[in-house]
Amino acid sequence: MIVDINSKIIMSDKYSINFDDILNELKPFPNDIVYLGGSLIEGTISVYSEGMGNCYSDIDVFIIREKSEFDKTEAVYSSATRKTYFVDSLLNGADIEVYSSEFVYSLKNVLNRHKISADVRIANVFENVKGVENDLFLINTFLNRLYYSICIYNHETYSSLKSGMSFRKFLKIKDAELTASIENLIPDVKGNLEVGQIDVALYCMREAYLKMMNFILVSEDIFVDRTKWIPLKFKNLCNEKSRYSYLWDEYLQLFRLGTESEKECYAVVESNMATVKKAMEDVLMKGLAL
Amino acid sequence: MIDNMNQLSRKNDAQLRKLDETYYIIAKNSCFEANEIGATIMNAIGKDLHIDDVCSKLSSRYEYDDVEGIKSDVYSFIEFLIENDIAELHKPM
Repeated sequence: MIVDINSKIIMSDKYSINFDDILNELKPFPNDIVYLGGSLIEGTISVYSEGMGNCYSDIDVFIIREKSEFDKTEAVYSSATRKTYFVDSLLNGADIEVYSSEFVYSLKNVLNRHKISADVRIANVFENVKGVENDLFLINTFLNRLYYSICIYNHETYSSLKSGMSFRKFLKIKDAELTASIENLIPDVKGNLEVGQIDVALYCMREAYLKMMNFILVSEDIFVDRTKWIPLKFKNLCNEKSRYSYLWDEYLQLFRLGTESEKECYAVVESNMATVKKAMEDVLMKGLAL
Repeated sequence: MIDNMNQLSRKNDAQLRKLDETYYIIAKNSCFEANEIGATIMNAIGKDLHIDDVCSKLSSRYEYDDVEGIKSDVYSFIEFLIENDIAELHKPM
């Protein structure tokens, strides 16, 4: 799939659609902000996200909608903050995520007012954001997708929202959260090594290492909304800033263990995929065994 | 004709899934609904099971005495799986 931002067109081997056709299908309200995001878009617009998105990825469509209209929006999945529905005829089956403007602007205000301080517990920073109740994961996902997005409707309001949103302040909060998390994991690694629980120690070390990579990405103003993207973004970061390359080398030792070459790793992953499917099927279909 | 299920293997990442009470055989570009017997045969692909054992076990599981009839149906189903790129043979039939 190709996203051509200048020509405002999305092309795949199955369809080709321009941004206006997407809007014709969505029929947004006059005050809606509509933007496109997800891995394919992110991979197109950010150098640190290069390689994201593949033939199985879809384009996510996001709408920020005034509360009164948001409340009336029909959806398959619904919460106070976000509603999701599906349009089969669009982009070969598109997910449409609608966010309440009340949530978005309340998040913006909370971030703007927030003062970074050692006294404030991270868990309480977002307690006044309407509808999310400190759901850091949801806030991170929302901000990640807004940060790496392309607006297709109401450009001025979109630009004003983005320029007024303190993305960097959120990343500082994320920094603090990751620091605390890593500091909790390291004694766990040490303790398990001491009692000979090597497998537990290895698992915890891998978790801590990924968090450390995420921490560095965040310190470079790079959002990460899913753990799976950490190695890809970190590798791209190392290509741009070689001072981090030694950390990539150690990542290969820790995560590939004997499968350092791309070819070996490919074979192991392919074999693991088959094993996962087989193990699942063996359990799910055990009643069929002869 | 094959005489053991281990002479067959799945092709194109074919998978067997169950939704509610219905089984589905999912291959690269196709999806087929299967009954429990079809799913049982699909599940047996690649396993060290003689065709005669498969048929006699199906016969006793479903309390149906016509083992030769079952054998004919099992072979037909295997042919169907091969024709639809869901299974392949390790040695010529």
